[in-house]
Amino acid sequence: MFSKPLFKQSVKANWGLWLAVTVGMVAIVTVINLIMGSLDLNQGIDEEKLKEYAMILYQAGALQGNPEMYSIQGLIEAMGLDYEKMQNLANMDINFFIKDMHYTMTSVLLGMIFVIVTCNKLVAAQVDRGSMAYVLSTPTKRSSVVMTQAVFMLLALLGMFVFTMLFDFLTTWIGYGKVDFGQIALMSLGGFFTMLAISGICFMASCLFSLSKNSLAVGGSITVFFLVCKILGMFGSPTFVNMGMGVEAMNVFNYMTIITLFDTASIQALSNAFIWKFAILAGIAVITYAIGMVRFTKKDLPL
Amino acid sequence: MTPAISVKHLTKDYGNNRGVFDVSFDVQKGELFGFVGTNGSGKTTTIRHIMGFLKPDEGSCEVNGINSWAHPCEIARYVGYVPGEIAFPDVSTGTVFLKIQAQYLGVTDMSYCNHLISKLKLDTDANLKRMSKGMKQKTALVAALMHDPQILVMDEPTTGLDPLMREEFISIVLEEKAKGKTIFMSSHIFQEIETTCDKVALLKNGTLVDVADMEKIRHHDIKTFKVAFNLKKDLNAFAKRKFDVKISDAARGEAEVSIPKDKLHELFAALSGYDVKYITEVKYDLEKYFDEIFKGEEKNVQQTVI
Repeated sequence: MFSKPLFKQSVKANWGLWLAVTVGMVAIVTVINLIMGSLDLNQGIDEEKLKEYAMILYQAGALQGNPEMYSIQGLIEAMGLDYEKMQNLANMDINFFIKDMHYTMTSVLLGMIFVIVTCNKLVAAQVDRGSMAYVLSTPTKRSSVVMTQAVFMLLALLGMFVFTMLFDFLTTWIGYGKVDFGQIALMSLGGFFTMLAISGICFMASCLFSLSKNSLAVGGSITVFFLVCKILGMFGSPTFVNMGMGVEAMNVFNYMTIITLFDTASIQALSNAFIWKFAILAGIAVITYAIGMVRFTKKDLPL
Repeated sequence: MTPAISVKHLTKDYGNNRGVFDVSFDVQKGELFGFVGTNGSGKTTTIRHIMGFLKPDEGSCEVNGINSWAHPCEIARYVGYVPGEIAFPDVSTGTVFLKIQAQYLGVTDMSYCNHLISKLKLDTDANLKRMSKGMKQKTALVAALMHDPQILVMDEPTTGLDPLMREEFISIVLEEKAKGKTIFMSSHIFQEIETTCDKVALLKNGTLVDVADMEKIRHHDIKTFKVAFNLKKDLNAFAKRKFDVKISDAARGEAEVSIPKDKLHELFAALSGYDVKYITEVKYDLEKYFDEIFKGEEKNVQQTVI
């Protein structure tokens, strides 16, 4: 069920892109942790200062004969801003916001480049070019071939996220002086599960089609569609809506992408919602890989 | 004896009359079997079925009595395959490629592989992607032969080779045959098939036209000669004799005469009375053989139309 020479061959053919993407992910996590760690971002509202301003405005109103005439709220509203949103903005945890962006965007965007290209190379491209003939004209079963390639993809992703996670631990410790191992591990695990599900879709496409262009078109466009929906969905997320940068109606996009199942908010809040969402991502991976592998063992191969 | 390769009523319909239709033939052990046909006639499709890469719509392919589609892994033990399209895996050099192939095949003793490499004067250290077509073809041949398989299946192995390289290639194939191996190769070049093969199958538009025995074609019983006469009256007189004569070019005084081998002396006796300009043998070859079959078929078709 497993072909060692094929695995070695897959490693030789794909380690370059793997390394490039992994280095990219490590670089981004390092820069973010070192910059963010050195900043004091949670200033919040300075109540004392605000009281002083409120008093001055009240006195100015009193001079006009109406002390209630001028207020902080009135000032903000006169500037065309929503008072409540301003409060949210002031209290917003920018760290939370950037973490969310980082874990869902960096890992998915960089990871998907590797996944789309590599999944296609592992199966469809070799059938399309005809080089698969050299493997299958030896006593190597089709099931071994496709199982080996799936295992390679799984280990490549696992390695990518473990490697990035270790650097995340290290640079967080350097930048912040303290490390929340549990949260970083869960965030990395989330990225891994998301990529696992996406790789399942791409791998399935690679097994279903005998032409590279079709495999890439289907696997790639589904992945890009999910990412685009995720980006648009962010403008409907409570964080963005509260800041006044989003519209609630945009939330519909969050239901059109599996990337939303990587629930960073739930992980940061340590609620349990992320667990069943991980389970769904894992389920998508199991089903898509299984469909691809079964189909590959039964289809016509133009070799 | 179980045939080395047996194709039984193989049908694969790709629509628009493309594919193969009810193709049946056997390749006996030790035979060098040629498979000819124009491009798109279904040669590669048949070969892919023999290798177990395609599932037949109807019929089956067997190698050593084992069903190709059901047990491709089993038949791979007996078969060396040279694909029609040379596309190597994504590895650096020929050496690396052959090493990996040896691992797939479970070959641990590389002495036969090295023997083949030196025999073919192959530089395996060359980058696979920068190899010439001939080099690639040789590398593919080494990969197919290194486990010393009983059966060799090759899809147009000489396409793209220069005449020298082709000759070299054929000599290796003949050497393998001398060792008792069964060789199945397709080609669209009649001549090379003609000089090397024992039997030749002709495929046209996905159907098998005929399987010809080259021995019979080479030693065809009826010889044909082109005879030219200096005088027109000689030509006319000769045409009236009891031979099978056909005037092919009256202006040049040319006639074609067909005669059984054992009656050649009668022809020469008759010709001695005329002023003969020249006489040449019209060689009976594979192309002529198949032409006759085609003409026969067309006649049949016309008759059914009438």
